Amino acid sequence: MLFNSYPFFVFFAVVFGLYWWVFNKNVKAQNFVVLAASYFFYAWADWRFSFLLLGVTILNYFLGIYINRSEKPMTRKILLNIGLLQGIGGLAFFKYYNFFVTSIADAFALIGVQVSLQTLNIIVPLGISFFTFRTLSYLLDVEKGKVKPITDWISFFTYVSFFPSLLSGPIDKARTFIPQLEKLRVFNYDMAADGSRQILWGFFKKIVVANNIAPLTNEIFTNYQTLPASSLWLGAVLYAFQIYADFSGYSDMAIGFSKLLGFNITKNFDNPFFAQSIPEYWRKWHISLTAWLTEYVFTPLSITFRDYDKLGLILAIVGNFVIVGIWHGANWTYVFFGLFHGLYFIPSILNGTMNKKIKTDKTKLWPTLTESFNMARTFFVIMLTFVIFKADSMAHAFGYYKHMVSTSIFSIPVIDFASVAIVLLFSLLMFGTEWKHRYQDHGLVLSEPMDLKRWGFYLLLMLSLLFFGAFGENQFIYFQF
Amino acid sequence: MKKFIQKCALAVLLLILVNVIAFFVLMAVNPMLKKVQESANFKNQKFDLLVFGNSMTVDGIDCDYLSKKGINSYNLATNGSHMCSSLLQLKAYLKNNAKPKIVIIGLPSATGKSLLNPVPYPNPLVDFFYEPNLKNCVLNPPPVNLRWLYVESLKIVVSKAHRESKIVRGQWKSPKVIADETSFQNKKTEFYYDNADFQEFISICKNEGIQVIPIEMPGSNANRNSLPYNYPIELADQSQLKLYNLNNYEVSSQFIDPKNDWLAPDHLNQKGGAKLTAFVYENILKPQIAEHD
Repeated sequence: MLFNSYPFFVFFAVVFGLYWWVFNKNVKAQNFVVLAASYFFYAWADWRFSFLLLGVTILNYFLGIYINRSEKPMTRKILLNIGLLQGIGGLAFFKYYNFFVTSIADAFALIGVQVSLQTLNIIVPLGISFFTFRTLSYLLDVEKGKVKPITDWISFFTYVSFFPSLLSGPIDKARTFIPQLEKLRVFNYDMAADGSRQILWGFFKKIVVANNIAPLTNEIFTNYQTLPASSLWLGAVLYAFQIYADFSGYSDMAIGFSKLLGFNITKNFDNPFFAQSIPEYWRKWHISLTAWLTEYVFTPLSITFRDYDKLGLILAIVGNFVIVGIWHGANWTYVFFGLFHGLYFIPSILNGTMNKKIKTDKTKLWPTLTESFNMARTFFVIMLTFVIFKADSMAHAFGYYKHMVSTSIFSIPVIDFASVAIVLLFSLLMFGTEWKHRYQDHGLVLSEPMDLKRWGFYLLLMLSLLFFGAFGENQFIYFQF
Repeated sequence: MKKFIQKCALAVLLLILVNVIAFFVLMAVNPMLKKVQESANFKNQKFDLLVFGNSMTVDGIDCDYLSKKGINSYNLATNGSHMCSSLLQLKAYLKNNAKPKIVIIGLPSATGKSLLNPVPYPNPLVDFFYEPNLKNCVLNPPPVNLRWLYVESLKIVVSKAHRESKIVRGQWKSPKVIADETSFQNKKTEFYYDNADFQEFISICKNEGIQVIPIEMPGSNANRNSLPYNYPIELADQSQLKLYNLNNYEVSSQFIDPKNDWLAPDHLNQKGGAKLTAFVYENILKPQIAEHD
């Protein structure tokens, strides 16, 4: 059930009504409504996987309790490792088994040994990467004593399966989400209105911007061998816009729907294309994933390599980003995508600017020349690396790069100019609005006090959705991860 | 909560109101919408020749040219159409007008099964004007159902070529030029002539004594084939019908200039359309009319 589908609207209207009008007096009843809705939502896609979700949740629920109860460090470690094995093992099996098998066979083939390994016809459960990361962080936090184990099963099951963020995040940690489940939610107009605005903004980004760009980039990436280089550059730029609008649009919707139910979940994007360096970009892109990996992968790795000074930091960063890449899926393109991003950190590690926070002047309408140059430089690198992300294989990516540097770069792009003009117009509206509200919670926190102006803008967005929205079957790109 | 619900209701009402206004604006400015509206209202017309098909035919068959040659004709093809919509248009036309002598069906096999897709997908625009009914309008509100027309209308604002294009006797005449950079690959084309709507369409024409001329429309170089210029296709009643394959590379290369005759991949501009129609007139229609006379 996609957020941008009629069934979801009916589903959410029913949940909203039950939640605020029928079961609004008791926190357990409220949580139970969310839990039942979450399993219904998940089962709608494929009911068989709801048993997997249920099994994983039950196991982790008891592991959390027993890790806390156990006083022997060894027992705690064993219980934790069972949980880690289940989480990582589940991901490895569902997402990476065929990739491992074919990669091993390919590696042997390189040395002339033919190995016949059986691949499996596996369907990857939707959202597995997201709910697995939730359970993993919970167990790690319980083991370290950062959170108390959750004994109320409804709360824990709701945390793992919370439907607005179940399929594509953001990945909330138990220590920020569970306290919200422990208090009765009381309807708050400001929060609900803000959530509605954020949903509208998310819809605009996904349906109007991303979905209208998708057919253009698909055509360019499929026919890259016959198109001039100028078309390929345009395709690379448009794909960067598309993936941002698609994923951040989804996150806006997820956060907005959560707010309508009285929950504040983790912010996932903070205007990453206005970043002035690669480290800053990663502090703004898919924030919940990078925060998760920073805490549970990068920090332990950097402690392990601390004796090697900057080299140790480089190793930790590169290792962390290779995992970021692999997290996205079982393909060498993702591995290289992560690897390259890790390598981009090296200059800022060497000159000591990795953690430097750069802020643009809030009061200025336009960025300075230096800021513009830094933003353009960062975007250029990110855009080029997204080519690997979009490509089906590394051969496809390198083929695309090769065609990008031919002399036809100076020719007029072969593309439907009117369609490109329209998507660029909407992209401009998206980035312009987000630039103006770059220090706000999301793009549609309008500060204009005049109701007419605000409502005029909402109407513009709604009309753009209705008239120019591509409501087809385009799934959210991040559902596959 | 009350305030929140009130604001949501206000937003929905505002949206409906603006939609209704926008729809009337669309009806006034969109040429394709006006064409379908005009053709759905045809009464007592006496066209000698009608043309059916999808966008390749909308762009490619120049009925103004044919009319100047003495064949009073109209291009009823609509963008993105399936044969089921052509069938609906044919039935409506025959009900209210004099039957034509000839019907041309532009087949787009160069670009895939589209028009003859085994799964029919009615064109919402044709449905709206040819079979208006309240249930359909409620379930698929026109402003939403016809939303792609808003994108097309916006193209008129942003693109000079779109502004200079016009509909003449049902043909989209566009001066826009793009070069066909693809090369001939003798594409293996799959055909779907057994499509039920297509067979019913021909059967109705045969029963009415209307001559049917199916034409495979020419695609870009990469989508053309080397199948014969004409070949018979089987009909449901076991008889055969001669099809003209203008997607044959050698034949279409005689009149299509890859540098100047396309407005988009597989879609001819007004120059290309005129050339194709001249070829059809000289090589298919004229001999048949002469034979008939």
